[in-house]
Amino acid sequence: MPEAVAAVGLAWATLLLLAGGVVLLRSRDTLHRVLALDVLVSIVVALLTILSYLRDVSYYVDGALALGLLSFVSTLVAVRHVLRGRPS
Amino acid sequence: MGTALDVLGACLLGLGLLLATVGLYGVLRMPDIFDQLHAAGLVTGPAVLVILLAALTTRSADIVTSAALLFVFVLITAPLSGHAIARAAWLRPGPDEDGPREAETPGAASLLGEGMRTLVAYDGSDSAKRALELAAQVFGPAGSIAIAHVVQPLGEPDFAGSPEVEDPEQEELLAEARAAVARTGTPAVTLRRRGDPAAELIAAGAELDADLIVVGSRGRGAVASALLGSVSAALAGGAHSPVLVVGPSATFGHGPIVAGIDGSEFSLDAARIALALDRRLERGFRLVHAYTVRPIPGVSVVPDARAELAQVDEQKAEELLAGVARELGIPEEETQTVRDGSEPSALVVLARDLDAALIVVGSRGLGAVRAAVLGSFSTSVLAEASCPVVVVPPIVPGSALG
Repeated sequence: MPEAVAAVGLAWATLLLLAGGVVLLRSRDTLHRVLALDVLVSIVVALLTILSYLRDVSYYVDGALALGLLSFVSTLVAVRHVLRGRPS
Repeated sequence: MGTALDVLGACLLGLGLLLATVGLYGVLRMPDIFDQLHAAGLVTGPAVLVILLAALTTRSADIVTSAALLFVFVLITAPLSGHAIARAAWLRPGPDEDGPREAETPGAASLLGEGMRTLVAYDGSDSAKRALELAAQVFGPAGSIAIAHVVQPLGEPDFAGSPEVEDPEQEELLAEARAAVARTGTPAVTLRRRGDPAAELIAAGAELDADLIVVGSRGRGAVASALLGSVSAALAGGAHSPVLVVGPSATFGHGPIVAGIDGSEFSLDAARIALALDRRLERGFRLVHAYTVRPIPGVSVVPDARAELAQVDEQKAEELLAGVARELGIPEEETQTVRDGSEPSALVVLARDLDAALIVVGSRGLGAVRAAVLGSFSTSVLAEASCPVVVVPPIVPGSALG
């Protein structure tokens, strides 16, 4: 993949990350925040993937995998908290 | 060839970023969480997947391998987390005025009078009918009974619907249940709920300050209930009061109440609850410690060693039982150890021999999935017992029975 293409993709993904930040700031309650963080993590995963294309090394993708795993688990836990965690 | 790959890679990357942009725009502009989820799904799923596909054009084996792994991972987790969020949004009790939860019954706690407060979960199934019947016969005379029915909302949310909408099926089921209890001469109140059955039952139990929650069980094994979702398992893990689970073939025997202990803190709680139940029901009491003799590979070549080790284990078990009995003030003739087999089945067999009325066991409060993975003592007792089983969750202090 030509370096220029990856560089442009990287810049684009960074802009998306900023837009994701706006989504997070505009979220009204816990579930919206969970959703926003889910989306943000996806963008970071995409960003890391493109970074690994640009630098031609694979370990950024491994980092993205770890991040995705964390995000998945925390989404499930946060959702569980919304459903069951109310004080009784 | 090289140029074609480069162009393909650039196209895939562009397409992925375009999808992500469209999805993000949707999340920003859509009005409510369900619409936003749709748009977000585009970012978390297809956009990331297409960008990962572009790895094929990097000509680096390392990157392709890692990306393939991540591809599979995203393919699995993206829909799962999207579904989890949607489900929570649909079921949550909450500030949203059109939330699925039924309006609170005013003063529900005052509906139940003096004595033992029993909450029975009813869904019209055979096991629920058995549970209701048993609760009315056994616990009805000792106090009062509340019957709860939970409608689990499915399908399209009715945006125009108001929380007061009556479900004819729910009314019918509750009327049938109330009539069944009335035949035994016990007055019963009914509760209508909407939402996740286990969560709603736990909440209802807490609101009523119930002394006991009674549910029927379909008698699924640990693995099946973890996969399919078991209300009784979820209750046993999270309720604020003991949970009586009536299995598909469970009968209320004429014998004593059997409490299983293993020396842990939660099994002590269970024994205390069993004592309290015994004071109400006056069935007799049996404190049981089921233990196993540790199998030690290689020892079998020495003829007497095995027997000697077994003796040590037996002595330990006796000591543990005596200690607990002393702490709880239980006379020695009401205690017993059983040996061998896996522990749950030894306890279950003993209960069958004694024609036990109830088995009482503690629960560590593991969820259904963790219980299936780690092996749950209470779950296996539930699956095998021939009498109803009381599972005592990690009790919050101040339980009425405790």
